[in-house]
Amino acid sequence: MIAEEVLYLTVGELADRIRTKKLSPVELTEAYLRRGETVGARLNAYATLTRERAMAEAKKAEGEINAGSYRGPLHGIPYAAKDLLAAKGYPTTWGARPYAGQTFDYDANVITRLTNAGAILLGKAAMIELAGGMGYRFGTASISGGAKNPWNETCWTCGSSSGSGAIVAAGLAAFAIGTETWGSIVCPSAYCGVSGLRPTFGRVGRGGAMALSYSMDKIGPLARSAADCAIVLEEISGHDSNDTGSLQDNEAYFRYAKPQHPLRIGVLTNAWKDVNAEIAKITNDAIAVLRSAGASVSDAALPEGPWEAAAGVVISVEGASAFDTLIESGRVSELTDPLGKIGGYINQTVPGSDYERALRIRTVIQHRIDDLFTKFDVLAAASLPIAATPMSTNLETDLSFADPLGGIGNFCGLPALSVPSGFTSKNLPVGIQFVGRALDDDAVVAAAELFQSKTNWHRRHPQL
Amino acid sequence: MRISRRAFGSLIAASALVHARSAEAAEAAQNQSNAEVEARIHWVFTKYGSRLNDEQRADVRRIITSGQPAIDAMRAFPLGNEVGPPVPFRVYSGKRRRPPAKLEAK
Repeated sequence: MIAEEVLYLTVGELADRIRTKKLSPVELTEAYLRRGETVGARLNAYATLTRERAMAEAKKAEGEINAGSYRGPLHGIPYAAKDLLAAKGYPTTWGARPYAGQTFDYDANVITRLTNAGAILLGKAAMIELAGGMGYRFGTASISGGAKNPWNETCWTCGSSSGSGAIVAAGLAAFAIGTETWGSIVCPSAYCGVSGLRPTFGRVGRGGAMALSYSMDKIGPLARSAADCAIVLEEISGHDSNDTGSLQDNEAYFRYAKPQHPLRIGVLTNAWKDVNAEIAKITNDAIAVLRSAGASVSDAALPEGPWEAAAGVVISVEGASAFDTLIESGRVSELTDPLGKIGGYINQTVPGSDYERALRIRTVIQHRIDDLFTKFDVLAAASLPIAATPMSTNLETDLSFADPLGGIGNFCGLPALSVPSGFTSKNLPVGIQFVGRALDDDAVVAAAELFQSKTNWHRRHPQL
Repeated sequence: MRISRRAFGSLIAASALVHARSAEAAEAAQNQSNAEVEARIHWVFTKYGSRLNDEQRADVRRIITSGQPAIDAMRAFPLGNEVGPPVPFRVYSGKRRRPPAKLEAK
């Protein structure tokens, strides 16, 4: 019988035990699956558990390790993958009723890479329908219902990687794969108190993944620490010939190399217009920790401009194109959310000239934000200006605020890492995010690692 | 605000343009924007109206109307002719060999 605390160990800690044969991948997998069937079902965290595949992969991993063939730090490690990644023979619903019966006869690139690393697929993580591509008004916008926040089950996990956040926070897997077009890794990481890495655009191949925005979709890990995120990224990065946005191997492959100089951190003064007072204090305290740990810290400001509007146009138009068949067919009416039922129709009205203009504006902001990174290795800000909100919150009217850092970061394909930085008086997690220069994923990992080397917020987990 | 080298010339030109714009011109632009909003709403209702109930029609109107200022702001951003999109078209040929990987997959 595996103790519950083992289920909350980091990938690094689990790997040490598995490599030295102190922990059985088969027993670990069985323990996670049982927890997925009970706690996971209660939280609506999984869309599908892939029990048969998981047990087969666990037995294979255990046999190889016992025979002295250890593949590396993910060998025998169970994980979950967002339900927009194809897993051969299992439902891949994209979180949406029109695709409820969809299956593929191949694995997504990311799942193939993780399988090759010896990792064990426990199941498909629940998600917001179509990753929010048609818009959504409520956190319940999913074929599997709203994913409940393990820290407070009346609250939402945030989306669209809603199940991935719940799974890691609730100890239902060692890590989970999520995706971000705008906020879908950073936000669930912050709401759920886990570490989430949005890699540089093009670093992780999207073959076999649902497309929402061809020029903005990214795939990345949610895990228990920044170090774990780096371990996973090392395995899933690399060129993917089935992804037209994929970088070539020399730029795509990530091998973590800690910067040798003290980190230069720019603390953003204009990331959020209004930050909750508790969160502002927690973020200030976090910056003080980084300063005392040796980082060079000074204020920074994002360039002003219509970056969010331009990014929004790109997502709207690319999403309207990616789902044109669904929109034209009228089957968007089968989506759960009232906004999702009409969002595609609205997005089709954006003129092509606006789309091209938005892309050209992207060129301008790419240069301006890169200029900022000549002074700083990373930019830091609260991951969100608020903590997790009730499931019933109307996101359109009650949770609508400017997000220039998310807009610029995603529009320019910049890496970001959100880690827990404290808790509110209601015991809800708060996150701090580090955003780096394109291809400088090392810097965001280093900043987050530095913070986690001096704090224990990432070691906390909810009582379930 | 730092101004990138490429956009600097365009910004100067646009700044002069903004100062020269009269109140009448601003009003005309607003009228044009409102007309565009109505045209976009009309397009949705014409193409998909039979699928929409009254509440959804109201939502379509509200969302398109509230989103227009962001689009207008984007259009007002000065861009010189020389500023192209960041991902240019790339030719494709099945005969072309992929460049060799510099790093081997694990």
